[in-house]
Amino acid sequence: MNAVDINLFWAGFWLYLVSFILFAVHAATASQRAGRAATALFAFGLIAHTAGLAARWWITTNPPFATMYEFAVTMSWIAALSFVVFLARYRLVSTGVFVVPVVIVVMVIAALLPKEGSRQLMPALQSYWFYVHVSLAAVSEGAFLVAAGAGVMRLLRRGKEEGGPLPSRVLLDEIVSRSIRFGYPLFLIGAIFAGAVWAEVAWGRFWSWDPKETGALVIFLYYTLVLHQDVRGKWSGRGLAVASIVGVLIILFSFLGNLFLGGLHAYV
Amino acid sequence: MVTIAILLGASVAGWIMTEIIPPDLPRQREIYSERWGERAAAMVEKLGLYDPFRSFWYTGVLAMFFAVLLLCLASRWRTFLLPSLRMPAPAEPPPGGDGRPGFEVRFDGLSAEQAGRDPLMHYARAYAVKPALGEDLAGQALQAARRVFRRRGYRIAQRREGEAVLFTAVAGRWRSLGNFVFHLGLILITAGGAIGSRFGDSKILFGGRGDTIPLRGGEGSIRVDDFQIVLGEGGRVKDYIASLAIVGPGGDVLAAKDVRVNHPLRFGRYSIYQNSYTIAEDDFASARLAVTPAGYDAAIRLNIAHGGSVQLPGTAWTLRAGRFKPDFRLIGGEPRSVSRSLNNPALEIHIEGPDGRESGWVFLLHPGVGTIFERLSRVVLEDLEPRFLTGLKVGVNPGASVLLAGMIMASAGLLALMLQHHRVVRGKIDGTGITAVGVVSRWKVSFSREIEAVARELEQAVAVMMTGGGKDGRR
Repeated sequence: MNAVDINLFWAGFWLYLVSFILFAVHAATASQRAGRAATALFAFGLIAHTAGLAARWWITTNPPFATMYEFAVTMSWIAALSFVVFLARYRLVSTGVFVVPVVIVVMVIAALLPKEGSRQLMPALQSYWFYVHVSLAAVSEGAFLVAAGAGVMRLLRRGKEEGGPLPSRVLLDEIVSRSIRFGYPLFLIGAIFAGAVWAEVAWGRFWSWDPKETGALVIFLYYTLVLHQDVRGKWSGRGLAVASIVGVLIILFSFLGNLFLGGLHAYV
Repeated sequence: MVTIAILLGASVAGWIMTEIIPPDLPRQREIYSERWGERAAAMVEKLGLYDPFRSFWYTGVLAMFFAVLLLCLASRWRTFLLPSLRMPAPAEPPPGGDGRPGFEVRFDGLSAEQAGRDPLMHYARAYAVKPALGEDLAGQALQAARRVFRRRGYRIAQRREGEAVLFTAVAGRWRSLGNFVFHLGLILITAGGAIGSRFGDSKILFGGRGDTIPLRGGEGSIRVDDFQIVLGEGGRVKDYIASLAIVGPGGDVLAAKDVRVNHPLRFGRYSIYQNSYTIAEDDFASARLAVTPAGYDAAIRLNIAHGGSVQLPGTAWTLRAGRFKPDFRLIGGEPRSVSRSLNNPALEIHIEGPDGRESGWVFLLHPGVGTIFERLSRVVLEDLEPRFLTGLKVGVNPGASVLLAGMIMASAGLLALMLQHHRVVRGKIDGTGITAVGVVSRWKVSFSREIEAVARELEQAVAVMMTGGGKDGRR
């Protein structure tokens, strides 16, 4: 297997890492030059990351979601892309100190997983539902990751006044809530509904209570609870921030559960 | 809310139980009683913890969730539906500030601050002189406001109150309908799932090429015309394809399809899926043997099918193929196959002749091991092609259409929820200008930005309007 995609993955990883250091310098010293350099390096990192994913797709001839490694790389790419969109919209460069580590952590998880790719998908994965199910699940989980990143910043934000390296509390509350509201429908439609329809076509059952399916149900129910509390105003501000972080921990448990829980989704 | 929390808790508990309680508990009860103690094993069995998601308590929680969802929707349908179907009546905008974004666009082109310093305005305020709002100006201003708000997805309702025109701009009003449809979809999904689980049925049936498998309802049978395993990269299974025909009671073919994983055959209430494949025991497609009869130097190579026999050239002996065991073990002196994998393929052969008969086993992976025949100095099983059986899952799910309808409804509702952002702006047009205040929105920051943008666009439109840019404000 050609290692171009892996090399590009590592190039992206190191660029993100250096950009994180520069984001930290910018946040500590308010140096505009450091901020610009950090943003530029992060953008180059995203280009390498994107090229790596494209190369992987080209090499394996399948979208890069077939293995846990590919899924994690895609998820970190979505988080990185969301950060670029956020930067373009709000120009809050110093938030990189908090968001970039999230991207890096997901890439570290990916780096620890087996990276072998295959041109040949197992028979059950040879379906267009594969693209719908996994891509929507990755996008939705990326959105939940963004919510958790903003949640961490919200917990670190002290005082009501604006200013400092972090965005205002109102803006952070809005990012947490909007990210969850963006991810929730995509998760339910992509991870659960599309997954159930695909399971019926492939395995003859909409639902098998497989550990991964139960994990998806738990994630759905958890975020349903969070959204209801948010709508009713019971969990807002710090409460919602904590809830968004707990949500990502559940997602990570379900994701890594593939390695030890077994079941129909036990691929690596 | 409490119901969601209970269902979440029950699902987490079930998730953990499936990992720590072995599913074979009812079958191996004695072993677990010994290991955990009788009381613990009895409790686990009574609570169904070996299969928690089919236990009475989890079914009860699901039933409660269904009932609460139904009651919630039945009691609140007006709250869900009316905001989408009715525009709120235009009313006087509340005072701005206190977190509510708002703006004032004046016809005289002055900002609110400048207006406070303007002597004419000061006079008008001090003596309560209200500038008159002409029909034409009101109409033009309303048109401008309507155009600006509509570009952002708002719908406007207005009414005249004395000299002023009051308006309400609403965007994202389909959100509440989406919420209703989503919850209705969840009810259908739960109902469809319950119907399928109560009245549905599925069974895995195996068959090889040429076999006929009867359908349970007597509506016909499945004929396996062919079964192929397609190998790909590194000898791994790429696909497995069964050519099936549904044969009616009269022998006529009612439906036919090459069934693969992800490509089931739907026939009436039946769905037939390619589920798995296996190797037939006591049956095989063909075998190649190298046989050296006693007294001969050279081996004779011969192919033999299951149940077939071959006359050994130059001898009076006949060789016949007997049983086939893909994973041969001797258990209690009896030849058995411990799995359906080709771990230790063994073939039984019989040598028959005028002087008697002898039988024995030959092994594909161990040519040196096997029965020593009197009439043959050496027998080697060189190759063997097993007979593959397709594993077909034949299922009936009467709840499937309800479930699918529920998923479609819930998805449509979710998309409406995701794409529709409910915002309400109340405004007033009087002789001085247009005043508006945002009264409903979940997102303070983006709503403030939007209101600022609306104010900017309206300022431009009013400037064009006041400098004679045409009746609708456009030059």
